Amino acid sequence: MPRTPRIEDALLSPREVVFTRAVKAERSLVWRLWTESRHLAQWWGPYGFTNPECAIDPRPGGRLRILMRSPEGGEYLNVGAVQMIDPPARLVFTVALLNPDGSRRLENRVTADFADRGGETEVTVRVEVLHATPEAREDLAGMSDGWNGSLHRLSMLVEEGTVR
Amino acid sequence: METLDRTLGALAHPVRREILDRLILGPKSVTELAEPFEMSLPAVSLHIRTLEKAGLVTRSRDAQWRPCALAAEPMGELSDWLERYRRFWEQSLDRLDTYAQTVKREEAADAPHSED
Repeated sequence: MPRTPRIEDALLSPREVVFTRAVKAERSLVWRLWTESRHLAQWWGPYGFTNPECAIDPRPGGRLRILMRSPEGGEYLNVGAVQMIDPPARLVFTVALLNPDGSRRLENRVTADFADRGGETEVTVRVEVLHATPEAREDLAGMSDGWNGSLHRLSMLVEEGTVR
Repeated sequence: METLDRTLGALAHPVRREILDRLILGPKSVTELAEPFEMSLPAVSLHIRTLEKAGLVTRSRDAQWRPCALAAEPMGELSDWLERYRRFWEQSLDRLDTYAQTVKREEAADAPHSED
């Protein structure tokens, strides 16, 4: 097999992206910044973005809802659900990014691990693209009450583990 | 993002990834593409159809052997999307670190000073 150049390398294994960061703060603090709504609102999203609405319910099955506002004023809604929570070491949640017109972008599963590094915290974020099954897609396409209900149902499916 | 969904779905199978990999070198017939795989021609054709549906592969109508060729556009979209995603998390984690310093300072200032 000849080696692939350029974009294709990234493309042929696009299921998962991993980020690691050393945060100069105690793990207990970093954990609070991820799991308390008022704190999460202060850092979620790219530079210049604000989060006029931000709520995370840090319990298994708890909902996540963040309305992001870009510097240009575009609004993007993130909705999801907490799948697993193990303070202060691991947080797993799903998040779907919606476009400004409400159309759905891909849904992801985010696994955040927090490792104590003696006063610092190593944060590892693993983002997996979740695949909707064909049935779930039909579900989504056939929903009459718009994307809100669809996403809710999709998160339910994800929680039941039927979406891969 | 319907296209992206389909793109990822199409890329989810190792045989389809390998087919794309080989098309990078130029157009090929279905028979040529099927050659390295231990599967029937119809099975390979099915994978190629999935790739066609996702818009990753085009088949010319005119030539006798209807070669398959790579269509780069959805791939470009996927790569843009991954880039955006990378930016989202890189920058969020930057902001997390900066904000953590702010909260640390605030909480240190709020802490009751112990006096004997």
